[in-house]
Amino acid sequence: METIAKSTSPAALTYQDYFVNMGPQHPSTHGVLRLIVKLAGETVLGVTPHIGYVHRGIEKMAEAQTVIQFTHLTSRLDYLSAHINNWCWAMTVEKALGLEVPERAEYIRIIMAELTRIASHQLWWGVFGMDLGAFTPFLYAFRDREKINDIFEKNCGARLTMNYICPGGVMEDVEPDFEQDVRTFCEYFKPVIEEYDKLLTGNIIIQERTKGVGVLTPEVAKAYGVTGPTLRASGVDYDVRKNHPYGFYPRIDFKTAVATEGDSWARYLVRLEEMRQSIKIIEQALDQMPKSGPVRGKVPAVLRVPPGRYLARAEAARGEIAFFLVGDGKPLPYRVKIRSPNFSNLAAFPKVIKGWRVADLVAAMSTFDLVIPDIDR
Amino acid sequence: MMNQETQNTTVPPATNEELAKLREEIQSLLGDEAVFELNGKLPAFRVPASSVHAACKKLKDNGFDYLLFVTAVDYPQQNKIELVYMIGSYCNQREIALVADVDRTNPEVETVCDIWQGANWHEREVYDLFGVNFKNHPFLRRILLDDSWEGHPLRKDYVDKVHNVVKRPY
Repeated sequence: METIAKSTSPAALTYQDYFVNMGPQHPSTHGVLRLIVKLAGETVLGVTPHIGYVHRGIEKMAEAQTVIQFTHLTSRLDYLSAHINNWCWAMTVEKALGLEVPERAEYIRIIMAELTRIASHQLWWGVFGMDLGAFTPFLYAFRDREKINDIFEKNCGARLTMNYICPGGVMEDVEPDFEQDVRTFCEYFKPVIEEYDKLLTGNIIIQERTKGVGVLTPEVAKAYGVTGPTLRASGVDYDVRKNHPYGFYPRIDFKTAVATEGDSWARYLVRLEEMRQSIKIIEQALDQMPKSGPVRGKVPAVLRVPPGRYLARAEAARGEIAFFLVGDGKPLPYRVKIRSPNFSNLAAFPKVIKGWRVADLVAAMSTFDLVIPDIDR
Repeated sequence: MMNQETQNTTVPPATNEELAKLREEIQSLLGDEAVFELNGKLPAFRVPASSVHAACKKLKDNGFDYLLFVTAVDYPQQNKIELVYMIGSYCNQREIALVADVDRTNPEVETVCDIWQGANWHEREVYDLFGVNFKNHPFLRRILLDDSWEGHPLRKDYVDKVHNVVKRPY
């Protein structure tokens, strides 16, 4: 202490670098994520994420239960993309065992997955506003998200951890008024997106805090394996639904939302556009869906995973989720690896935020839309 | 340390033209030391652990710009850990798994962090859960578990002394 007082001026003392722990309990990390932020005044010199606070060992658990039983754990990865995670796992098992999926089930899967994407982006949109200090969008978003959750509750019995899409199809047929419910929601939601635009997109404070801030260049994004809206905002047109088509997505006409700037603002716009595209997908799927028919294919009583390696990929709300399955002919998987989108996205985050201010860190992190249980598994 | 003969390697006829083309292309890229295998439904190339880095570099330079993940599979009976590098592309549909065996008692392999920066965390995870040592890794430290954790949980012979995991009879 004495040496500092002797050797440096008071002004130099003021500008010392220091470290701040952001999290593990911090409202804007949206979960138990700890960022060690190196600061000079208010400027971020570096960020070191520390993860693993909600590590549950899901990959290890997978080795102790049958492939059907494991479905429920996939809902607990990225809980806002529960249907999509279930779907991706179901595809892995179907690939391994060569199971057929009935046509109606494929369309139900698409509709559920896209509703999930909308619900997830709605939640993100609300929370994004809140992170920047606007509380109203949060209430608007939850008002609308409730309608999707009601559809889920009616048809799956659950609102968050669905376990509805399972190997061979879906667990059970949807309610008779499912189509009407979804169409009502679509009609309701179309003008609401424009309302979202009015409420937040046109807001000058939001624009000034996000435009040009936290730029993720395509080179960095590719080097880190970033996927999802975060990647597409950087000008890389990569969407698993287009690049590695699965389900009945090839039958459906939609565009991937792409922006070129790579800043927080671009990530914001891409997610809003994705909601519009999802509505289009749902409407087409409803038109094409057979009105009746089986929703679960022929599934053997005991699902034995044949020896070998299997991989299925899907586009979750935050990026590419993939399940890597190694079988040895027994009902229990020999090894399951979960490629979670947020893990790679977070790895790129320190590159993005270097040199910006603390307040920009919160805004940029919000546009990365991280879900921590998905990172930690 | 390699023991390839113990691996259940079957080289079936390519199922379609694309796969055959991909196989041919990558075979010529990686040379004779890479062995194609379609064990299950994922096309894979097996390379010696010592040439993982060189193979990854070649793939990266030839359009495989996307590393999905790095993981490992433990085979205690054969005293080996199989590393799996899942490599794809951002602009086309090609995907390939690069597998390499390392000795289970002293697993070591060169890092690929300098090729894909994203490999950093994936390799830390493999180190954390399998105990594979990645040489020249810039920051090889446990990532999901605490630094004081004993053992590597995803190894098959790991015994959890803390949590009572119920063993199901099937």
